[in-house]
Amino acid sequence: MDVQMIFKIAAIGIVVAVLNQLLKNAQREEMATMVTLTGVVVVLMMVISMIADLFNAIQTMFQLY
Amino acid sequence: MDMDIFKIVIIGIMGTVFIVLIKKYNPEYQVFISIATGVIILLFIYSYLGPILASFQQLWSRVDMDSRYFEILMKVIVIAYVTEFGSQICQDAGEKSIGMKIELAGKVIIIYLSVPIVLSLIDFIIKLIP
Repeated sequence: MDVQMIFKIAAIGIVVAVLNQLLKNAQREEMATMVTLTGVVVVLMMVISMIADLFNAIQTMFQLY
Repeated sequence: MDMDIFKIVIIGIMGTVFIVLIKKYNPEYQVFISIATGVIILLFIYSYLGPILASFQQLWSRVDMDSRYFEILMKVIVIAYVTEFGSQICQDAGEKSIGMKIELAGKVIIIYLSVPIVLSLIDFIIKLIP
């Protein structure tokens, strides 16, 4: 697992925040909500796969099934 | 390898800085960054755990004891470790009650696993008393 994941998540968060502001200023509230939701789902998927990797690693290390 | 602690400290500080940065704009990303930082730090620890476990196993094989108990001990350690990870994340995100419930589940499962050890201890004591 590499450290770039933290950078990626932070970058996605900042980009989503900027897009959110832009769409809100352009009077597109519903698009802004959708962008926020999509960002959260994408990052959630990344984080969940990281947690799955960690748990798999622990289980193989301790020989638990 | 020995100097991994510097990397870990830097990763932790970086994660904290990102969380502070993002808190103003997008508060829901705080928990993601904290989970990612936690997973990366735990995976750093992971490479140290192998030799420690191997030496424990060696030590255990020297004593004439059931290896079943060693497995139970390992399981209890893993459960404590994973439970702590999960409950800390929940509590950091402000969900104290879910964190407490995860801890409770961990405790109950540890008690369930350690029942055979307690029973064998009681058997041993009863054997000692004539």
